[in-house]
Amino acid sequence: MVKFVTAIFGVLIIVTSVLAADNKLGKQAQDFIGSLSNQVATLNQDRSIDTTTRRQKFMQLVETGFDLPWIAKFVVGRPWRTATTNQQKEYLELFKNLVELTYSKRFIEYAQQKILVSGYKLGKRKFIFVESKLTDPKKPKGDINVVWRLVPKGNSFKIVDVVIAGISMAITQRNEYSAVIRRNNGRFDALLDAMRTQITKLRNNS
Amino acid sequence: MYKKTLCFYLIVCAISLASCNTTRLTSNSDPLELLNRKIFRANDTIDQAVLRPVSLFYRGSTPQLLQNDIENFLQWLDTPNALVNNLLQGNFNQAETTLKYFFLQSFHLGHVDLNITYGINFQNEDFGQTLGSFGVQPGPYLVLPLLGPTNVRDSIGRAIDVFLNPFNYVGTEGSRTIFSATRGSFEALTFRTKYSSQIDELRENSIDYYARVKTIYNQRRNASINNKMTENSPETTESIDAFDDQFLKLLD
Repeated sequence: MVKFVTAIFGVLIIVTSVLAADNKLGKQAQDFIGSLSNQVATLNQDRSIDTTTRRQKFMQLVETGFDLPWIAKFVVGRPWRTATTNQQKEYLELFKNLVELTYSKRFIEYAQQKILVSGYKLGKRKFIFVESKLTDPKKPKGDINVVWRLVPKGNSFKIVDVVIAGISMAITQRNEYSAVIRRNNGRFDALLDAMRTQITKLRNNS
Repeated sequence: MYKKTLCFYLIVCAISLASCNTTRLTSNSDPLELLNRKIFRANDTIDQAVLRPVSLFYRGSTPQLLQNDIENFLQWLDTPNALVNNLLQGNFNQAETTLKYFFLQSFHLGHVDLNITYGINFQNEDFGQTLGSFGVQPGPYLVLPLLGPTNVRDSIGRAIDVFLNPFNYVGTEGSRTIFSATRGSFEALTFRTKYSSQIDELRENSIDYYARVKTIYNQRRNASINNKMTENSPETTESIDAFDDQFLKLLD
């Protein structure tokens, strides 16, 4: 009987400590997103720096917060394994350039918007989902739900996906990239060409 | 008019269901990709030549309050459909909200934002979503001339929604046709105006605009169908897990 009660207590202690650890992890992830979005907002409100510096600093924050190489590999999917080392290297570089050109512009244009963290959920495996709302003072009824998918990395976290109003950025880009490769008979180079063209177009427009 | 609409949708559905010309250039969920891409290009040309400039003019020349009124009025016209679909989906709380929205907006005729004034958050529901909530699969992806992205399930849903809405039975056949065309035009215009920057951005930032619009449409529809559970919940992102489990492991 004593053994049984001891065993029950033991199980309870383990379950409680696991839940407490999960709780702590979730709250830390929430703080991570809150802190990152505050840094982005502060950077955007800083009128003492020019656009180029702002973009550079924005990219530093992106590289700190996001696991760009992981996302890049996920986005390209299976063809990553068949690509040569040189192709992989160039792809990672082009991917980073595209992120910079696409999101830094958007970040500057949407300076008024704010991220309000509202909660978290622990997903299967190691993923943590931080829930938030994107608010815009110009659109009081237009709050948009944003879910951040994170993985623990060392003492911190890395974002691997952002789901805006039910649309996953990683899946969207993955489907787009795979369509380019598929339509070009599986040629990885076709994707690199398309990315180069896109970078030139965005540079010319910015 | 309804017979023509029904025939049109049935033809589209029959073509897409019968289509088996899957080649390397098309994907399983999009067997009509080659045709879809052509229609998509034509739609995009019309968008750039007509809809975009008209929407920019509309935004620039129409007072914001009037734009809101028009949008609210168009939303009000959708409430009978939303109500039927709320009930069919067993979402009685939302049905009550839709009913309140319908009666209150009947007095205001779109002039009041009921969300801000009364806290009534109207959510549009269509028959495609109802079919989705019953477990009906989307079927092949389709791009319809002028109407844009859809799939077989949502096309059928759209046709049924035309029949479900009592506003479509008011007046003579001629006046109904004019009403339907005007309403459709204004819906397209308000949509293009509301999401103008997002559409332009999407177009500018895509390396394959068609593929990007397709995946966004599919994901958005899935999220709308699952909104009873909690829209945009992390469960949505769980689809990544199923997406390519083995590859994720390789990346770790």
